[in-house]
Amino acid sequence: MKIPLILQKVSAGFPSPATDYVQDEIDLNRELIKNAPATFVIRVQGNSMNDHKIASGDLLVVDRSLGLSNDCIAIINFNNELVVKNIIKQSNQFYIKSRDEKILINEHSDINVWGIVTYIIHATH
Amino acid sequence: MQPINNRIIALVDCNAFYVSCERLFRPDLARKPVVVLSNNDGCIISRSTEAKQIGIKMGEPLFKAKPLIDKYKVAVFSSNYELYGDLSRRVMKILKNFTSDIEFYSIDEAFLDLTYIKMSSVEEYIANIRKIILQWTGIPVSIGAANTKTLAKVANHIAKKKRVGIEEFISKDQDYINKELEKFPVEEVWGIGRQLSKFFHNNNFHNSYQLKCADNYWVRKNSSIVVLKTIHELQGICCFPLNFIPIVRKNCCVSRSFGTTITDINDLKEALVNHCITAAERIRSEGLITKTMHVFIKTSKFKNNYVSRVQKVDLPMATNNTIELVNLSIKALEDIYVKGYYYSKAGIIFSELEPKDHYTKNLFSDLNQNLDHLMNIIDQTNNRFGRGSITIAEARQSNHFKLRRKHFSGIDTSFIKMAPIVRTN
Repeated sequence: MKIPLILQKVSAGFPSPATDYVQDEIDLNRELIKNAPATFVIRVQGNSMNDHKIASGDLLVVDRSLGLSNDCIAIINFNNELVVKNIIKQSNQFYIKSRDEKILINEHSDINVWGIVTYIIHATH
Repeated sequence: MQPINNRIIALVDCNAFYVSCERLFRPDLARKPVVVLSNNDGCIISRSTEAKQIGIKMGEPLFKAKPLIDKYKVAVFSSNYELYGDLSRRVMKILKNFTSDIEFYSIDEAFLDLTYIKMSSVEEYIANIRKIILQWTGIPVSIGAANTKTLAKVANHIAKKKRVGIEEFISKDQDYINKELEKFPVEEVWGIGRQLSKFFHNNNFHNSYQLKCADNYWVRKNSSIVVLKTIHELQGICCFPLNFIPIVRKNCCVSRSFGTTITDINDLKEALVNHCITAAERIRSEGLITKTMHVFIKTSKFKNNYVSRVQKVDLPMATNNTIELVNLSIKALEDIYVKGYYYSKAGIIFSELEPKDHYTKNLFSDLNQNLDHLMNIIDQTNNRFGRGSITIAEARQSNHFKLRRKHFSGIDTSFIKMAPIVRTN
């Protein structure tokens, strides 16, 4: 389970002593989507991001209004194709990090950031 | 309150909107010629700048543009209104962050009243709106700002041709604006249609500066009050205020030409029932009910024996219930159907639409509560599992009625089963 949420329901027979504490249901949209018009849900294909807890078929919550930060997961436009990658920051430069290489991201590298992955939705059954 | 002629009105217009939507998940198509087709892959309805440059015309049938498409390897897409609708909603939602005084003019255009917004520079402010929409949604927009809607339209045309995508007349002097109006042909002016521009050309008004200087009395005598207002707007006097209340539609038409002609009444029924279901879904989603229904069938205008038949049905009670409407539409079709013709089109129009809540209940309206409930469940199910998951038996789809979507991208950013796919390597 990759979403750190406890979805616990309270059962009630007698007038529940919890009535005074009743709140709305958990709204996952509100919890997982901070900026709705900038957020897209994208499906993953491929297993090369398994080290980052992303499996083929997972859904990614992607926020386009955010910028890169160290060790983030981002959707990037790489060689004219959108791909999911891990981005790291070293001495004020951002790099795409894969198993055996590092690729610099700057204005000349023709790599654009499409959006930042904020949550991974993984089905466990 | 500020004087009315000091308004700041901005027109935000998405560039080649449908093409921009298709490009969002296809970075390989940036700077390549791209076109989007109308329903059933008929005509070209959206073109990228590159597609315009190689000579593909707006509204051109696909087969006519085929040689150019093949020669320049143009990317072709079937229309995907689910995707365009979702991205349009996102753009409009972002605009609402800037001001609540918005007129949503069309799927890809909105007027903003920025008169009361605190800002140091109009140019910076609209540049920021443009930047945020582009970053958050990936949709490039052009923004023109001026004292009136008509001038904002002109400014927007200029913005479209500039790299920065914005143009404002607010801080500019009259000389600058007049020079721009001189370059702006009269037929491009908002509200001046083809007929009117012919009239003005004949009277030696060729550009919008000449129109701006036209004599008021002459215009009033020889044309209409609307044109006079347009001229005032070109002078910077606001005559067309923003329409903040969304216009409730008065009718709903669903029709389509068949791929091949049809003679059998059962085939016509199938097409009509599908149109009826679509139209009923549409008015339900807008909380409307219909009082009148028109059913029509016709043969091709370009062939001999042209026939076009319509039946008007007055409904006993205004409704948006698919089952009732389908039954009545089938009866109407049976009335107007004549054997032996090659039909090319069928359609349905709901008119005299009104909001459901405004409708006074009568003695029998309680009878319909169960049906309303059923419609709700069907709509919810179809929203969740995809259109047509639950439908009426008559609407079974044989292949020749399915919407032709040969170049469909299959992406819908508002429906999880059709989420865009991204690879990991």
